[in-house]
Amino acid sequence: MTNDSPYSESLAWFQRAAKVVPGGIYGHTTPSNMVPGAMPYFADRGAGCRYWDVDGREYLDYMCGYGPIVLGHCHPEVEEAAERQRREGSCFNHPTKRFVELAERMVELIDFADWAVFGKNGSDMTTWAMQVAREKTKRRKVLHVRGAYHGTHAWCTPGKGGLVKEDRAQIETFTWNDPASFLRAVRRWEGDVAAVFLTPYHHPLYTESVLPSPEFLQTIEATCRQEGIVLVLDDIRAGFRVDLGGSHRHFRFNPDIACYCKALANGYAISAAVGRADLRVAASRVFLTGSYWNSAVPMAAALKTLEILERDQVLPHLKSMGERLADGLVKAGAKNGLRVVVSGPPAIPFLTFPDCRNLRWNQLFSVEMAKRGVFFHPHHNWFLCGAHQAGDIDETIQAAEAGFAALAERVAPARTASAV
Amino acid sequence: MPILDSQLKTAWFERTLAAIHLLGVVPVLEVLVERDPEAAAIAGPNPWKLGLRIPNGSAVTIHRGKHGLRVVEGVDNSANAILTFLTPSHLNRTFQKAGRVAPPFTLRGLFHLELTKKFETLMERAESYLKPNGSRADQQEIRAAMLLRLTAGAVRALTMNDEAVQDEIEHIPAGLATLRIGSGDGPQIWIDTASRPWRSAGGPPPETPDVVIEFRDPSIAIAAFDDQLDAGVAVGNGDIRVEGWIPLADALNHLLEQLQPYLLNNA
Repeated sequence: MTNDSPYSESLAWFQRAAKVVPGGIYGHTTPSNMVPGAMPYFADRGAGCRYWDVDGREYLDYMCGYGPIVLGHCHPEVEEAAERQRREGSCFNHPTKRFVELAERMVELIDFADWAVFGKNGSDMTTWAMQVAREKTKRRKVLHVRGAYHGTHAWCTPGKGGLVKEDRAQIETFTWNDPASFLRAVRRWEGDVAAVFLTPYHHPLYTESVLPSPEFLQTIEATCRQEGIVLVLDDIRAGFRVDLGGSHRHFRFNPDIACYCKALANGYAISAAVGRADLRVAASRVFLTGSYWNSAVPMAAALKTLEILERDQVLPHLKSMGERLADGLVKAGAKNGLRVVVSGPPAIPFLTFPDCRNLRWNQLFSVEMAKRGVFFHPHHNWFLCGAHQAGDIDETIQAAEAGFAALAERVAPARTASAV
Repeated sequence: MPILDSQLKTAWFERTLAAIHLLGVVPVLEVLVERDPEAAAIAGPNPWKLGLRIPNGSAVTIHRGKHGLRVVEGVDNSANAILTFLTPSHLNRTFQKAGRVAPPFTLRGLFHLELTKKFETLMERAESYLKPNGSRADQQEIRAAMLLRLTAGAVRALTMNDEAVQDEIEHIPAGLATLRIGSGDGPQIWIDTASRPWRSAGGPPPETPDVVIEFRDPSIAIAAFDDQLDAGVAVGNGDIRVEGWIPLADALNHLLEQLQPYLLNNA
């Protein structure tokens, strides 16, 4: 990687980071998860559905900070609400009125919710929800779908470092969209299953997203009711992008607890969990706090974000833009002789090439798109935001036609096989 | 996520370590004889075959041919001599020179003393390269190639014998991976995770791989194999290039980490 790289500033900052930060950049934004050297490492600023990297290159943003940006970067009304609160103060010896207002709003929006609590990240909420389920049921086991992501804590992290067997001793898995697999797990641990964790649809890394079959969801819900198991919806990725009342409404099932984070406050640090009345006592017994968990600024931002999502009918817009994008990408791929599949809900799409299972084509395509000012992640589902307009989508499709052409030329000899 | 502790100093630990010695360490002689003229001279100009085996355990045959030396899994009954170690522990202690160890039994071969001596001398020379800081800077290229070759066999040995790893590999993506040093004609190995046990060997992969893991140069490879490399930084800097099926690369990386306790035990 040389100084004449279009990402030379990113690389220079990475060199600085590497001296003082393990991994240089860690976690989900590590360059290792993208195409190192051929995509940006550091961002500079953002506005609407675009952002600029430290090299000054502009991108149409289809990751939206991996989800939190649901209205667009630096949305003026959200920023104003946050700024207003900032002037009043954010971190006090007590919660502010925003805390109550936001809890009331969550309970109002989400049909099964009787209470709400707040944290900072998705993992805060999923881990706490697991404890609430155990407190309620006095059982140990937690079931979740194999390959599903529920956060970074020891019981669920996809990472492998620093773990001992005991961390996962009570965690069992079953297969997505396979009711028999789920029932086998419940039977095996009969009487000891505290919680079932479910994402509203399956969105594993490195592969297509898969929507739920009605039978799968019905089996899980009915079994949880029958067995007294707490059904926890991990709606952190999809919440407030698929349905303003929670993704369970879209997919027609009824959880006991739901966890939210990403799209809640348009980039401000807050997560939430809501639950049924019969879990309130158990919830009150599980200690929940953090130095910044009552911060008022993110709560003010969340209140404004939820208001705009409803007022401006943002979710139908996301769906419409997502469908326009998916349709355009499939056609642009076909024009270049490439089979393209776009999976997942329209607002949270992921593109794959059925003729290249190892995602090498995704990597090459993402590089071509980055060159053309569009940021597509090669391995992780994408996110649309309210700022994406038809013109942006059409600009993306136009870039994709050129990107697919470049890809087709590059992989022509290997078109019949999955190949590096 | 197994963390190796003293409990694992059990029969299967010894069995795994012995398999790593036979399938991982012995094959580095291929690289040594190819790249080190003095080692080639020790191996001598004439063809010979030496078998090494543990009853009901791993076995290899070293083939010295006119054009090099090859280590093949299994015992070739036409070998000039076959050295039999009573147990995995016997083999491990012999390789580690741990105290006074009875010599292995020789099943056949009039020339077994000469071959045994050749083998011991070659292994000593190989060890001088393999030990951290044991090789000179100008020998780093050979050391890197040897560590790469060792990895190919050791990974297979691990998946054949380590019970914790055997559970884990059921969740590792099936595919073909290539690890290589440099982008040109540098040393490379391949690992096929679709088969049971895994297949692996030195040289180019039998077909187009699902993932290529490329170390920029020998120093990067050595740092990686010595567990001294921040992989995130190396990938971000381009010192390690990973192209293709990332989950397979991640899984292999984790598996290589699990080799460390065995390699440290062997150090």
